[in-house]
Amino acid sequence: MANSFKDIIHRKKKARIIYEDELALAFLPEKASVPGEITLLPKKEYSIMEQVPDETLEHLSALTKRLSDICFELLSGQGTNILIHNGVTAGQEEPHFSIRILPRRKEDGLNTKWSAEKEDDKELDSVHEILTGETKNILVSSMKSRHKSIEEPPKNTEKKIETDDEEIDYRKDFFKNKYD
Amino acid sequence: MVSEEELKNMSPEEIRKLQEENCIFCKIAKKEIPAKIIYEDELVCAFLDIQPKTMGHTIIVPKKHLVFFSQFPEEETRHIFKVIRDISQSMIKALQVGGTSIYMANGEAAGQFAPHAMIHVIPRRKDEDIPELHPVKENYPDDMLAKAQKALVSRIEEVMGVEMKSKVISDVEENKVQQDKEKAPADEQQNTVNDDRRQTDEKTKKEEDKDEVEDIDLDRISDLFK
Repeated sequence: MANSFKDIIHRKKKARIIYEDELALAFLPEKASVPGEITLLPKKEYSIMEQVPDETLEHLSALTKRLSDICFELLSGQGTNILIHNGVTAGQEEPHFSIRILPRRKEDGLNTKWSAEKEDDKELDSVHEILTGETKNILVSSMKSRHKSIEEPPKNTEKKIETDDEEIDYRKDFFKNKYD
Repeated sequence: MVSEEELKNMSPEEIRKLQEENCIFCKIAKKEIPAKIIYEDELVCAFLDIQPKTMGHTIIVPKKHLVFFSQFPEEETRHIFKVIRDISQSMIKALQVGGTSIYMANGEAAGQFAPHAMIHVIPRRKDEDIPELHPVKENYPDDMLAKAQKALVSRIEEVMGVEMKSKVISDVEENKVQQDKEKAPADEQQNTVNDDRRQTDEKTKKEEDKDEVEDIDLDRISDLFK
């Protein structure tokens, strides 16, 4: 599958880029659902969200919030949607993880409200059991260290994007060997 | 119950407190209302939606009473995407689904229906289409994108205190791309032929696109980026 995001990152394809740093890039796709729609992506090629490491994901989530706030302001507070499609069955179009930020207006004609499906309680119970078991494996066991990092953040995650220069320096050091 | 008269005399803090006390999602997080919780920690709570779109549809909420994403403290913001990722991974593994969709609505105009911020993680199976999650895309003309880019970049510079203009805007101008090519080292020049071909392709594509975009009300759209 061709990866046009990669071409945009390497400036082989023209795009209306609005933000770029060591880790991430945001641009306005030509084909969009609403005017001003933003695509935010990690520069490193991860196909799906599951592959994105903690540091990059934290950075992307902080950026998503900033960009969503900016859309809010520019549209005098009407709203935003955050949308991620993970995997081909979810309708993912590029083999590169990305986050869509859609500025919304009341009269934009978009409908993102779905109607609920009827599910029977027994099935819900069994899914509950299966998922709780799996989150125990995946989250709870690994969350111990993460919990600690929430209570007393180690130096490298303590840094916030407010100090952009520092952040970029830190990112540069961190990713020195991983990039180029 | 609080009377309308009492409500009028309340301070914003008191109203906030009242909203928090009556918030279903706060009650779920505090376990005052039963829910099928699949994961929780001190910041977030994830539980099965009682009106699921697909089997396994999960809602993640911050435990604090936060209405919009813009109110998320740094801690919650950085934490929640990692939880989303891991819950999505749990679904793919345990429910054997091919993918997940992640959706969040901020504000009524975006389809938010409850006064508590939440993120949906929806398992996606092959034959279950959810058109609401795939709003139709159309081609927007480049001059409109350029306007939006300019407005967004200057706001990003202001809010984040970064210099972005020189980095991104000049790049897309044709001349700059040309100059860059001349400066480019030998290994990159190999791509020039392909680049030219692509550019021609793009040009023809753009000409084709022109017909499609004519219907868009340009003034209405550009109003958005005043």
